[in-house]
Amino acid sequence: MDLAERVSTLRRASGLSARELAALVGVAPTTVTRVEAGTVSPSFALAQEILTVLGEPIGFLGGADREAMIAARRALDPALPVAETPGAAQWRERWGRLGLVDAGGHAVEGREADLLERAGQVARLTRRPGAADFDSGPTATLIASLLRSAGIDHALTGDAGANLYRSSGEEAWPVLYVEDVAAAATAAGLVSKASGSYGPRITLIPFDELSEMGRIDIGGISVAARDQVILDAYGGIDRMPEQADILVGRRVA
Amino acid sequence: MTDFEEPRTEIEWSRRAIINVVEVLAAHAASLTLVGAHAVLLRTMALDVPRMPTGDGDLGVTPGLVSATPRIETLLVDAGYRHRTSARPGLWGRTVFADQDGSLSFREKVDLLAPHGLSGTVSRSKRGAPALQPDHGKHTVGNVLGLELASFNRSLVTLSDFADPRLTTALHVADIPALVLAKGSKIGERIDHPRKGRVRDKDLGDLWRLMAVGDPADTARVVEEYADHPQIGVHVRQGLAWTAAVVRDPVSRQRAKSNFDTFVDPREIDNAFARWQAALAGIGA
Repeated sequence: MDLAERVSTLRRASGLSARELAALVGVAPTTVTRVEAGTVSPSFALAQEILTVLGEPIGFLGGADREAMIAARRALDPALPVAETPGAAQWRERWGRLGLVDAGGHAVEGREADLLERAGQVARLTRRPGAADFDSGPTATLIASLLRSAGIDHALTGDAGANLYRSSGEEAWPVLYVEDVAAAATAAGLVSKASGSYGPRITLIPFDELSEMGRIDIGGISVAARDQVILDAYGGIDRMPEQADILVGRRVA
Repeated sequence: MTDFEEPRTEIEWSRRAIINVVEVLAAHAASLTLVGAHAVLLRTMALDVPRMPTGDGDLGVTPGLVSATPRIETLLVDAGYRHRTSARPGLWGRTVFADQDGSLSFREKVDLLAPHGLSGTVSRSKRGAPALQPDHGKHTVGNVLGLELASFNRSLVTLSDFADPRLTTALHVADIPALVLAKGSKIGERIDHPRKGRVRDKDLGDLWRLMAVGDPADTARVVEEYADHPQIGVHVRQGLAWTAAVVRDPVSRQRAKSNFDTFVDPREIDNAFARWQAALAGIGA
């Protein structure tokens, strides 16, 4: 697949119009249509910017864009005590051009769900830095219970986390933020999944300062902040974005 | 009912809801067909991918097979069901509970959906089933495009409850050709007419699931069999056109891959799309 075809396919798969992609990138819409038609060969910097906002930067090795998560959560909660980064500022500018955040970096009223969805698309839950995958078996709730007994700090996210906020689906993929992946795996008796293999799994993601913030207890289970869970569900697989839609009121449960 | 183990999860509740509604509507059993996520789940159990985490129970209702009595609306209301929303007909729920965020939800959720082509309306903006309204209520059954073949291409299956396997019911379940056309129609119409609704990656994921386990030659044979059917032929041909367009669309293929990002080898997805593209293109040739 050449660059023109790749950009066109990824843009439409992301649900973006050429005009919206142009706004995110900060170029004229005709530039995008010409790149997609193959009549313009973009500079490396422009190609990189286009593919970055589409969630697949050049040299993409599987990392989710953490800066986008910081920008989205700060836009929704300006009081969030997490440091601004140059990357997060860049996302704020991009989303500002798309009308998702205002000049002050706050989420535009009525566009919060769009913002979380966009952030989830470039910060996919499937590609978080430091995440470790394990063979399927126990549910997220059972793992949480084992970690609590072992005194290991954790928070549910993904479909199980979304279900704690609003029951809307089934747990297909247990995902937990944990303070220490190796210790958590041992405490929960998890077996490492073969590297690079496909199929069902359990995933543990190391806490960072963002995912730690705003956790709450629901029915004795520690769950990530509502905005984080929604963002993660939008960046998840299968019906998880639908669960996010229900949490933000876009869809009838 | 209280003798059975109570469901604990959404998917267990939705399976229970289907079984309970089939029992409540036993007088109209011949008209009911399991479609949607639970039907896809049943037909694709062999796949090594995460189980479909659905809370939806979709039951197709074929108007021509529904008797004038007893009234469906009365049967459901008497059994404790009520409309989940007034915005769309056919969405029923029972057993209300409060979620953590304070919103009210239903433990049991079932959607009753007539195939659009058999619903008694040609309008795509009407969401009910006029063919059933005089006898069964205005908001009792909704309509969905693409379910027409499921009224014919179906087989009787014994459905077991997930929470308590002692509870079972026999129910018609749409076969893979009907499910492929239903999903392809939904996606295809929305690609052509975005105002009809968003296409979600999960729809392409469902289509891939069906294509991965289904035999494209068998689907081609079924589609050819019904392509000139007096009641549904025109809908089957339209469904085929939409499905074929989706299967050859590189964006749809990309969205199926995104849906299973890191869970399914993208080459498997490419292979299924390629096999089905060839088979569907050959129909009627």
